[in-house]
Amino acid sequence: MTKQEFYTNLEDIADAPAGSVQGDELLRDLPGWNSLATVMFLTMADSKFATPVPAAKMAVCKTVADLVALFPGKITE
Amino acid sequence: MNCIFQNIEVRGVAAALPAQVLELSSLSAEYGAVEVQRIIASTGVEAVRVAPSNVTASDLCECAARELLRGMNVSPADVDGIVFVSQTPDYILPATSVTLQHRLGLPTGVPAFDIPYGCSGYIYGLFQAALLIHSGACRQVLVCAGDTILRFINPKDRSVRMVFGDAGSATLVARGTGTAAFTIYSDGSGAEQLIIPAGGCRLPKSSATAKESVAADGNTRSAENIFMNGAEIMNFALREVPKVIDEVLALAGWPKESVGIYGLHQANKFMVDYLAKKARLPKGSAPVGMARTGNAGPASIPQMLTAVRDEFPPERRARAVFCGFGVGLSWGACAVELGSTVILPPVEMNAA
Repeated sequence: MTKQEFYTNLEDIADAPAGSVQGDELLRDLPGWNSLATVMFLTMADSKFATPVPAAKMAVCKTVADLVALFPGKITE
Repeated sequence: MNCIFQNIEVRGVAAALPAQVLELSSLSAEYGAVEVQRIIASTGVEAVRVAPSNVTASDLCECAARELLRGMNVSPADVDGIVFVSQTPDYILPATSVTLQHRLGLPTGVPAFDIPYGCSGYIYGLFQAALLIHSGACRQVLVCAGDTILRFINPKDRSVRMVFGDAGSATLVARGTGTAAFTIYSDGSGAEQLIIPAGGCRLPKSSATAKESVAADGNTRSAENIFMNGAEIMNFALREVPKVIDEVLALAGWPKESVGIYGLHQANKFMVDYLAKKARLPKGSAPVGMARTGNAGPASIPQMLTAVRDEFPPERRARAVFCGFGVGLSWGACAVELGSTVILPPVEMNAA
């Protein structure tokens, strides 16, 4: 998956306008980033990367870039 | 634990709902209209049922049980076992199942068990009934599963307030000729992921446990309120649910496509749909029947069965697989035959 595709997926999950996610955003600033969005993000990680993301790792993510860093080698430029 | 019985029949299922409905759209002023609509769209829950303070889970189960026995023309005298599955019992003691024995007019000779489980509880309840019957101790066991969990939810905790609802159910399990296969797991290492910390003997209620605070997830709750780590529970479900379904199918010797209905615990629509996809269940075989009721914990599967009974007539539910997962952590699945099972429409219970 490319970074742009990852951002688009994240926009869908967090109900953010298309093209609004660029990587540096704080998760708390995304309009629909809540506990449900977290759960939806985990299913996205499961379906696209077949990678379980420990909840403790998710909990310390503050930015979109932090989320990208959860999948080393799996998200290309 | 894997176990298969060849002499178990699920004779009937009924559910009772509190008459009071909380439309989640009414929470817009509190949480914001956009946020509320976003959550409704994802969870599929538009409204939840709310039991008044004088109605308990056992009241709802009693209502469902009376409806079931009346609808099936079964005398209480012919029920010789009762199991009550709930996280919201009437008392610390006595066991609520014993009070239900009396209230329902069952013989004093019945063994009565309380099983304090939530979202996996229906599987546990059916398993206990199957054991009682298979052992020869009982011929016909009533499994009453229900919760009034809303009274443990902090109104300022939107992570759970907009999903859970109150409900009760009753299922009549009897000696017969059907297959009932069970696969059950427990993992107490996850106990803290879904918990009401205070109110038991480990942490009795006090002024300190009643004190609310804003948690790391931004929601407000006290130690006397339910806490659910949604991310941990989702990971747990993703890891275990497809596996346990495959295991119980293998135990029963049923091909996946031969099962007409997969009754997954009705956590929310998003989870049910995703888990059905991940488990590669046949399209349309894992219904969601919680849009107007919410996640009813141990009653969620029987409540769903009553909600979708018209879409799943007997021939379509001849083979059924149920899967519950949650508090404990605990999870399990069972494969049962529902082709001759009477499933009644849900009934509403008005407070006295």
